Amino acid sequence: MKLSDIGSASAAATLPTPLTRFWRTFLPYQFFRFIVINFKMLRLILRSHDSAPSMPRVNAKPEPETNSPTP
Amino acid sequence: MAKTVILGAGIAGHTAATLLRKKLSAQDEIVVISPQAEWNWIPSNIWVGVGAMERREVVFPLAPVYARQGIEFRQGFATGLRPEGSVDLPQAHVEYTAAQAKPGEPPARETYDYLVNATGPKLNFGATPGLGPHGGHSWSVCTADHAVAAARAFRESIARMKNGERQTLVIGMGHGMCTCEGAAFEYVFNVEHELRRHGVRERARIIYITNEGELGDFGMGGLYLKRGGYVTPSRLFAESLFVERGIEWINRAHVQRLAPGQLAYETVEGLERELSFDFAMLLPPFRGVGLAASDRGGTDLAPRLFAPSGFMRVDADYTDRPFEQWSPRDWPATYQNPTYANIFAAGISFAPPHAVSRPLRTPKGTLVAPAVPRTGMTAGIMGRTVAFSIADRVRHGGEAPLHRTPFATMGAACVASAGKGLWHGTAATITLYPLVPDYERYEFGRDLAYTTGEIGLAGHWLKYVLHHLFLYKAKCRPLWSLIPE
Repeated sequence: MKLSDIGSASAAATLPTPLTRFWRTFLPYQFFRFIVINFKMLRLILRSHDSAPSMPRVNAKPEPETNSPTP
Repeated sequence: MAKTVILGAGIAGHTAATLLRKKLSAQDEIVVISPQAEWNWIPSNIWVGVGAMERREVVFPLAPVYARQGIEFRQGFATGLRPEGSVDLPQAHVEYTAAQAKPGEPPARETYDYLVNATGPKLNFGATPGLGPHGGHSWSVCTADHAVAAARAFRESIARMKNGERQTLVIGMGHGMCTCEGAAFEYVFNVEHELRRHGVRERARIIYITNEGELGDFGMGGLYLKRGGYVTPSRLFAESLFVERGIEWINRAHVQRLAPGQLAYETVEGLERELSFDFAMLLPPFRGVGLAASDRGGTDLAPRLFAPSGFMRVDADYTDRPFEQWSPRDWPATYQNPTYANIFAAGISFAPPHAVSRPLRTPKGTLVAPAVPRTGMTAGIMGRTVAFSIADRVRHGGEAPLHRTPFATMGAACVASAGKGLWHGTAATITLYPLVPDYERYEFGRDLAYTTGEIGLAGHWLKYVLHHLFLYKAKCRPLWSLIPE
């Protein structure tokens, strides 16, 4: 299958302008983006690490039944 | 005093072992059983697989780290679970074949009070005839050694192009039920980058073959991103990258078989085609490692402990339902086995209740359904959750409440770089929350404030930082525990 066979899919793809490509490697702007991405990652990590035994669970299910004594 | 045995020393198992050691007293035993003597930062295998990084940069020996931490390490391959003990050993135990065992030697045994199953997957190359580097006709980057072999073959391909030959490179998923599409996605862009760096890009035809319904699905049902004032599907984001780099793609595909230099595939649309190649890197589907399990009388417990895929059942809802009735509530939160309260599974080893992406079928009935990725950040968080739960139960008694980190509401981050080095190459950085789309809470299934995607050198730096950061953490260097999973 060549690109020409893909037809509508490749024709519908958005392509970056020269200015967009320039920003992707323009160092001052990328240093700024590096800080922004790190902030986003940190925010995501903090939201994902919400493990706590007392935390009420969204959409809670009952505790699994066990048939073996816990040591 | 309690003894915890951890099967596997990948991201989930290693995280659980090191955090447990930190939480528990020196009298509490922690034993890791793993067939691998080395820890491998698997995300960087992509760079090894194109020859941009050496094997030694992505692995380190586990034994010295565990010796320093006070964790016992047994190199061996777990073969069976006896959660109720056996006639001659009444305590719950694990059977394993030690790495130094002689042929015919009976399996070694390790008793436990708590067990963490973090074996990771069996790389099921056998699901597709001719797939894989072990006697097959394609390469893989699933392990550091696989990546080294792939890099060697890739370099040979580059050398032929430098001699004027044209080459076809096929990269992607080797079966309709594969997972970890993000790894193949990253590899294909690194291959394209390396070809340009070597000045032979115009002599290469690169084809990406995937079981995803659309590019940008990643086994997570795709995602929506705010870009340029619009909310757009990740399909547009991904297709743009492929078209910009001149990479062709075949999606909704199941690879049926491989022969030397040729593969056959079928698609959901009913196409059955053959494709010739000079170099192929195709990831295998995963399944459980095939642990046996029996009770004291020898009755087979495997159907109660494991799903048909071989992965361990945990606190998920495994009721068989149609796609329209799937819910984030089906996914686990404590990773505790429902039959044995002292057994947990973390990382790839837990059995997902179902996929996240809509499963598709070819007209012949072949299932084309990418499985949800359970690696990297999610595996680390599961290892941490399980470690905290076990530590609480050891310290405060068996009724201590379990820690909960619902898989469905974890976030995920994917940094797919192209190239290695500080000034060359770019990366596609994607963050998303929650991992399992929730259309009851969010109009587009996910929180758009946390679900983002961008391309640039900054993501590339981040990937490089993460490589060093996670290796530092895994080596348990000073203040390692401050680095989040």
